[in-house]
Amino acid sequence: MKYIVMECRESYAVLLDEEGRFVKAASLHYEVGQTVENPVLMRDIPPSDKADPLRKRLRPLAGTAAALAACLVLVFGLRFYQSHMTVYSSILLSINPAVRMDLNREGEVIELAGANEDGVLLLERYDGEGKSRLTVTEELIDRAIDMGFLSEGGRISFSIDTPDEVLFQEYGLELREGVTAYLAERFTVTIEITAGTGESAAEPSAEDPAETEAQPQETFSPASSAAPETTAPAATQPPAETQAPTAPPQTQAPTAPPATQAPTVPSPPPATQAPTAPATAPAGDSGYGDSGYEPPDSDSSYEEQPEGDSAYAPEDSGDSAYEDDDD
Amino acid sequence: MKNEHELSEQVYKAKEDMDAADRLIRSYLPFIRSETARFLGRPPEEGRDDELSIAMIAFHEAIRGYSRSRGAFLSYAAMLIKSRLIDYRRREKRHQGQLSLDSSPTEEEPSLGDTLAGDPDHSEEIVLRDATRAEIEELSAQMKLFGVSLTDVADNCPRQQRTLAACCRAMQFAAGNPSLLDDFLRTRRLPIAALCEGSGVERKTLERHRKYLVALLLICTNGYELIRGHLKQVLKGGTAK
Repeated sequence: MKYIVMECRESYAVLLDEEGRFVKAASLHYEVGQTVENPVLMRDIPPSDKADPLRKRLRPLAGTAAALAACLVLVFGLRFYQSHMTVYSSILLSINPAVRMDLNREGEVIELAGANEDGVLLLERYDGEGKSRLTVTEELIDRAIDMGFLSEGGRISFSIDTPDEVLFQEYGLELREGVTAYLAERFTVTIEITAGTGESAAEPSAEDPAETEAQPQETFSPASSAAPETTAPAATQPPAETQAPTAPPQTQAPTAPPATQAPTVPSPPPATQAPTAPATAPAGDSGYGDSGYEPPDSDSSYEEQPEGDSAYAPEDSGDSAYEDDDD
Repeated sequence: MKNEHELSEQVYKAKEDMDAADRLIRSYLPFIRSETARFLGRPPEEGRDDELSIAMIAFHEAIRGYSRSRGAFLSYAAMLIKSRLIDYRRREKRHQGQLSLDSSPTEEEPSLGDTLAGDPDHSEEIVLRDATRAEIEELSAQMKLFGVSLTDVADNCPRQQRTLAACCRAMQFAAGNPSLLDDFLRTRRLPIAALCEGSGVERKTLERHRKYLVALLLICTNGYELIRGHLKQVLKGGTAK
């Protein structure tokens, strides 16, 4: 093979072979333009397979970094899971059909379950997952109206079960205002809000919340207007029979609302409830008006849904709560 | 240690930049010479011993092939120089038994080179060489306009036979289309799309050997008869064997 010398540099020459290759070779006293044979060509050294020392040094670190990243993902994933996927609090909505809403830490509905037969019926073909608690409540009320469970003068009760007092107040106020505003045009209904305990699948142990909830009830019932009148018959009632129905609550009812409730809800509920309660009492004695102050009656109204009752009211909490209240 | 680090920095720079490589080789010429001397067992004679050139190209190879994982640069280069010199010596052994033109059988007789009647032949060769050199100078001047140097082309030249054949097919197609070459000279842009379509070579192959193709196409244009004569085997259409 003959090569033409194309370029001569100090350390090498560029040659052109007959096949059109340009190659570098040792410059053995060549001159440009010369034709040469048997040059000493420069060889290509394949790149070394070994990793760069820098990369080699970083390799153990890479493992650590990966582990760290995995930990971060795990921690944040767990946080997310806890706040979004696990049941933190629950609300028992009972119109007559009773429905339990399980909420996550963010207050979104993650599960709905019927707490009695009608409740199961109410939830048929309804998907409330991921919606806000208020939306679900409103939609369920709509359905209840459509299905004939709720009518003028009916009663809606919310039993809120949460380990967090602040949440209890927040949810209570929100539900009360929201539902009142939602139904304002159509119906007057009684809304009652109580602190429920332990019935739900919520993980907070039955003991702990019981203690903490004693306070929410104290603070909340005066603050939330209509409660005293109507919460009296709530599921927590039975054990406290003798004390609850006595005078104090009744006297409290008129005094408390004007004082504390005026700023929060200058609303129709208390005003309209008071008149409607007695008015509707004789007509529809389906567990509203009359139940308020006659424990046996309230009991019986709840005996219609015995599971709800029993599950609903760990005695201690209700008891202590009301004792405190009364004294 | 710090020196060594600096040196390997320089080597990495020289991989990209031929001028830097030249500078590096110039400054390490004493090292190259001493390595050669160690091999020969005597100091190499400038202009006489090919070994020195071999050592230089070995140093050049060392620059290109070096990576930090291969240890200190100088010991790597020394190792490479030594092995290249050994290769060279083995190769030269094949020519043993042949006499050097410069040597004379006995002291009194004239050297063999002088007994050859080669003068007229020699001058013809010189004429040819000068003509070729003129062509090459013209070619590299024109390549400069395209921003390509001969060293670039050598670095960019296809290594695989198959790729080389593909590039040559593209060149043959261009040689058969003078208008394409005119456009190429005028716009100074490689007509890759036309080459790709006309020769059936993959576009990627052409793009990867852009600089090499520039040189090939320039050789196809007017004025490089001697170089084309050298490449006639390829241009005739017989693909590289």
